[in-house]
Amino acid sequence: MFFYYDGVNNANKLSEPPSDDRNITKRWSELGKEHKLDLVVCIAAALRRGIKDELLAEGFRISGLGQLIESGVQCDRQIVFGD
Amino acid sequence: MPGIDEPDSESGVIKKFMFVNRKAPYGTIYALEVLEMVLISAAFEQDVHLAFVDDGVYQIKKGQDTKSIEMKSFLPTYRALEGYDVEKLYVEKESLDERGLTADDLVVPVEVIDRSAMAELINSMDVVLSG
Amino acid sequence: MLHTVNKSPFERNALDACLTRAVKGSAILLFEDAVYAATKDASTAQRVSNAAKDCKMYVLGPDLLARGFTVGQVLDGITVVGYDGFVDLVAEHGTVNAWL
Repeated sequence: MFFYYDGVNNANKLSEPPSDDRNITKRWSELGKEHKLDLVVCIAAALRRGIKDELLAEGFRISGLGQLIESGVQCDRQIVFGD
Repeated sequence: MPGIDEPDSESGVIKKFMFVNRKAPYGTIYALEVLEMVLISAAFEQDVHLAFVDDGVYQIKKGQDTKSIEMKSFLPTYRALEGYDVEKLYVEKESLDERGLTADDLVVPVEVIDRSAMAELINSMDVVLSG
Repeated sequence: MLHTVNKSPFERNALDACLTRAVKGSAILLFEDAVYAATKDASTAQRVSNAAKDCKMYVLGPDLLARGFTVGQVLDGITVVGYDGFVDLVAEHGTVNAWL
């Protein structure tokens, strides 16, 4: 999973939605743990939005845009979800 | 370029990548972030294509003076693409026409193609990343 | 190629950008706010129906239901799929192109 543009906000561990609503960040961490997913956050987009390494929720890691291109080269299928 | 992991040149896989630019510059950050992706992709020796459709054509319009809005202009980066071997730039004719522009208004050499040719080109790609 | 559109056609032009550039025989999936374009009474009905003649059109059921629409309100020629159908579509088509 590669988080870019505003998608980096999914990785913010300070996110605190109301308790009766979905906690997307927490769901990503759980999904990542359950299926051993690599949750990669783009460093440039993250820093731009104030998401630093120490603010990443469990299971996320920071890397460069190169990782996105590399996965495009290596994977069979690539899907983009965004705003 | 600093900070980029070395590409895995041993795999030898070359895919057709297309970056589709549809957004106008400066009003949102997304156009810049697509450009950052394009620059990074240059290091991976893939077959990179850049398409400009809809408001994306405004990104390469000549004469952008961004001093007063205190933002970095896109133009030097686009002009430098050739040096990174990103040379396949396509602009959709209908998008230019709708905006009262021609190829002469653009800051870099591009191939102007019509909508149906653009559709076929997009369809031929292995990986498409849109902004 | 599988094209996806996720924004309402009344909010931005991603739907039209897709419909005018998807080659004949492509698949198009409408999901999230784009499901409105799959409904019979929206002003987009004519052009979406026309597109459905040349492209295989799909709409994501859970997003339709969430927005208060039923399968019966979907245009003829558009197939309603669930999340598993979404995955099948991705597996079936080599490349996915998201119109954001």
